[in-house]
Amino acid sequence: MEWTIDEPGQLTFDSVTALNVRTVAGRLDVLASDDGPSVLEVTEINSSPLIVTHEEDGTLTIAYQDLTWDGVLSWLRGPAKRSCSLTITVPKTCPVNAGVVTASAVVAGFERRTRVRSVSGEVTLDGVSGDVAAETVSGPLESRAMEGDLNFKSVSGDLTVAGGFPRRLKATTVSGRITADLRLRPTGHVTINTVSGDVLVRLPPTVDTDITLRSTTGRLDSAFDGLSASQRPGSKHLSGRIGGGMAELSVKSVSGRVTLLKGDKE
Amino acid sequence: MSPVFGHGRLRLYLLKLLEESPRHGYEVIRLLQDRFLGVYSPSPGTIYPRLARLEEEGLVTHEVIDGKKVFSLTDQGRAELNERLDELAELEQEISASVQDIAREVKEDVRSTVRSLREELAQAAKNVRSSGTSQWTRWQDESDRWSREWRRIWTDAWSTLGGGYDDDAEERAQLDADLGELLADFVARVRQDASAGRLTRRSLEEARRALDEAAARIGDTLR
Repeated sequence: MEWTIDEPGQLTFDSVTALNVRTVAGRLDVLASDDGPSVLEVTEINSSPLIVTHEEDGTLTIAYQDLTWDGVLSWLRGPAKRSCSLTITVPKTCPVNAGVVTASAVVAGFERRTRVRSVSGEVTLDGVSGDVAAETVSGPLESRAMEGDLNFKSVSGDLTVAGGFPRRLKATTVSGRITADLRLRPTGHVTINTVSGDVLVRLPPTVDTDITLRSTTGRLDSAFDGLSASQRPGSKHLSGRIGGGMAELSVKSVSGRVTLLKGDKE
Repeated sequence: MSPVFGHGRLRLYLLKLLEESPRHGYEVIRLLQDRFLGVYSPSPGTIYPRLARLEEEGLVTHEVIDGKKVFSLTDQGRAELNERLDELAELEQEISASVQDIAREVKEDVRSTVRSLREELAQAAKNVRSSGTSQWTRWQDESDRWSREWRRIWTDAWSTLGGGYDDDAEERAQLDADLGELLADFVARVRQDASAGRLTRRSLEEARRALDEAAARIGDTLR
């Protein structure tokens, strides 16, 4: 089934097993439901129409015709400014693949595989678990109550993780600032790589983890005692084991400052 | 947190959930969370006292199964629910209509959480830094390690920018990655030269011209 949407309205779908959505400017809200029908609500749309397809296998795709996944940057060259506001509700078990250029995106409640790409649009993730990949050029990512895996890459986009309880968190950025308030699972793995962005990580006071902070020229500070410092030509380390170990936190920077903070309570 | 439950509405919804089936308190909490897409998260501190009050009023009763209280509706509770069926239908509708508002609220909420977290941690970081333990501020000599780190991070960023998500374009993706690495090496080399050499306004201008020229030639080659 295929629809062409050029005015505000609502579409309801019986069974959606996967969601692909790509938009340019405006707003994109993707929410998880426990069951019931999936709903696309278009509250605003200008100029060119959106194409909606619902395939037999349950895949729902919402996009402008000429927007493909090849090279997000090519989206910037698109004709005239296209803007729309969409609210999409699909089952929380759906894999979600969402892309925006400048639109702000909210994605909440999914628990399998979620992939979000943005050029400069702000991305907000709330209560998303499972396997999450997020890539931005300059758009910031703000995440609350994440669990599971998060793989973040940006050029200059900031990452902020509030109340994170990751299985794996991997963040790579050139100049984006990374701010993360985390609890660690016994097997939790956190890896942060940055060129010039500052990194702030806060852990609970009773955490059990191995820690390695490394920087070429950036300053390293830790509120946890018991890390040993070493300095070799071309790099310096702060590393050691806090509590029983097991979990792993590793931060590497070229010139970004790295600060490890201790929370007040569990 | 959510405006969805106005006066007396949570009570009505609790009755509805218990009419569907007898439930544990935590199951009620989970169902409320699900119904509101995880956005409205009532705490046990809200729900258990409510259930206790409903029980005092005789609308709800409980039995202990495997050490846990399982609540169910009494006839009196069922009667109140039946009287308020219209209101319930209205509530259900409002819940659906509020999904959009929920998205808006999620965003506002996360944003304010994140903003205050950033401020808090930035302040804490200042305190840690000024306490003066383990500080290094001296610039290090450029080194192999620097270039390695830089290369790795840049290569990652380069592929992020490029796309190349098609499965059939594997060779292209590889070539694209190779180009990214060439550029990383280029930057590392210039970094070394700039640190070692003399950088003036004039040499900068010269460098800019050389870069423009190089970019134009690379552009031609790739066209």
